[in-house]
Amino acid sequence: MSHIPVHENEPPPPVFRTWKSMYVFVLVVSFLVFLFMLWLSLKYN
Amino acid sequence: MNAIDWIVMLGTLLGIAAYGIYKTRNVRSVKSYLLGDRQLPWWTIGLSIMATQASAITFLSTPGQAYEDGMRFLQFYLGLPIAMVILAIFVIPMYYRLNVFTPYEYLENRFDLKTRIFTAILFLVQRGLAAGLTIYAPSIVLSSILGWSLNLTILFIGVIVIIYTLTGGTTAVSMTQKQQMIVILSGLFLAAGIIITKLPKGVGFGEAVNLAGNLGKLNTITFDFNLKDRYNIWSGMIASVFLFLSYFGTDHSQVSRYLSGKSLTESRLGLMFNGLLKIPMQFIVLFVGILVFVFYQFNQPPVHFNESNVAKLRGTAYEAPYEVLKLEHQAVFEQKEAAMARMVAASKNDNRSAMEAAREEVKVLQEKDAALRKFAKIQVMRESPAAKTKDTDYVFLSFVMKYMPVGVVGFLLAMIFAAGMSSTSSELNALTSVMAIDIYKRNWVKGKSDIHYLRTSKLFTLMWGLLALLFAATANLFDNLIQMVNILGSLFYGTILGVFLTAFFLPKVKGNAAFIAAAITQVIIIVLFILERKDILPISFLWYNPVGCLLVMGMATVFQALPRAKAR
Repeated sequence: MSHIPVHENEPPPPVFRTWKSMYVFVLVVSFLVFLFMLWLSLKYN
Repeated sequence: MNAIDWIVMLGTLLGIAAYGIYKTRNVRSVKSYLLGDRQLPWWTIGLSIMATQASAITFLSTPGQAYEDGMRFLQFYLGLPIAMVILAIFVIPMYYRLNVFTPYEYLENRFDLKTRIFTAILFLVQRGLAAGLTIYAPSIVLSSILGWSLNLTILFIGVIVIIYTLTGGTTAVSMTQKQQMIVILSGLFLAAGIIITKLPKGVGFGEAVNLAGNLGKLNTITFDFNLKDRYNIWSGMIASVFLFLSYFGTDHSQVSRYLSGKSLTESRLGLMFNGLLKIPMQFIVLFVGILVFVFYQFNQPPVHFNESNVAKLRGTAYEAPYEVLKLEHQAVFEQKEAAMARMVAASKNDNRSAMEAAREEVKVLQEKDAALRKFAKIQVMRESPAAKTKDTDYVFLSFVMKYMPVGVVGFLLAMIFAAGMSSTSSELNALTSVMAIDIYKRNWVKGKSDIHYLRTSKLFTLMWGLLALLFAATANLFDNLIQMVNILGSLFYGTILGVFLTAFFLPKVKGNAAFIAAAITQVIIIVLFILERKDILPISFLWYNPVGCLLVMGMATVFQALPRAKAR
């Protein structure tokens, strides 16, 4: 059990070329949400 | 409550339960009962994950929290997408490859039986208590509104959940959660939309946001580093990543949701769905509370939102002082209403100095208002020292009952109950799996037929359902329900996550070292919690997650390096 599988041989959903691009998409969208929250806080403070 | 509301509420709740029972009437094997034959598509998994996490507590406490404290609670969820990606990369493939029923089964493969049993028992204790709380929370609401006894209400909610979870197992849970999430999401948008239409003429959506922002309610990000404070950017980005890794990666109430996926891809997508939508959903829940806040700037709110506390004052020596408080509260409200009108006018005319003057005036009046609300709580406590005076859990519901139209009241109550039922059903199903697979089948009765384990699993669902009912009937209202559930989780989550991360990332560490490290860490975390309660070492419960996790990993590494452990 010492080996950690990072990439599985399974295709990601068709709109993404790789799993990596999908994870990046989720993190980038979340970061944009964070920026929106930050903007909201700064706007009124 | 109006007859139409009753019909809408009961129709929605019973309709969903009946649908779940009907669709899962052919469950014939343990695999089907506990894993749903691994047939679920990603979007059902995603909705199911969200429905499991969103309990009735979410819809009772969170809008009230926004009403009182603004939006900063949202920061708590910032670590969630990061945790989802980590789990999708490292953890789900591991569970799929080993074809496990529960995450604790993996630990026996990696370490030994005692580590599996230890983590399974920690889960059973923590989730068993949480299941009781998730039934208890909506029961308080229903009992206070309908004048039912609390125990009867607990029984009413619990019995519906137990019936469909017992008959259909995990598939019934996922099927009903899908419908329940549809009710929840539509309820949220409906509530927000109706509140906006109830704002005074000239105050639309944009103006409501502007007013809330100017009154300090849109403080979504706070940078102050304070270990005592539960909700700031640091606890959200660091401590809550550990909490969510543990909750979604090792808590079987969540793991069981994505282990029922058709394939690894579907399970991963289910988690990504949650990672993308959880923060926006929580934003809407909080924003509903903000809209209620804006509404109450133009419509007089009660001095104290828990009407059952106020009712207790009637006929006592504290009734007269309370009536005086109400009059003072009304006077403050009238001044505030006038100042708010000036604020709206200044905002529309873009007159900054007038806006600033009106804002300062409103803030002073808000402080007066807060002081009066505090005095009201003191009156309640004088009459009944054991009374729970924190009334934020009642803000949203009292608003719904008083101002929402007929039919919508029933639907929004159904939304709250659906949320309570969705998380309770997942919990009961997960408790059943762990009890049946990790404890009963592995340790007590081996080698029996599939039908034997299916029947036993159903008995365990009934047993955990009854235990949850018993706990709900004896629990008392803690200072804030949502925080209590999180505190319960955080006492154990750090340790459990530490054991799993040791298993995943520290290949040289063996079972004994991991087990001893976990046992010592659990004692340390409980001591830290006691010290925090006594104000000796004030650390927010969220930080127990990284502390517990890193302690297990650190100690396990050290113990493994000791000469005797190496010899083994």
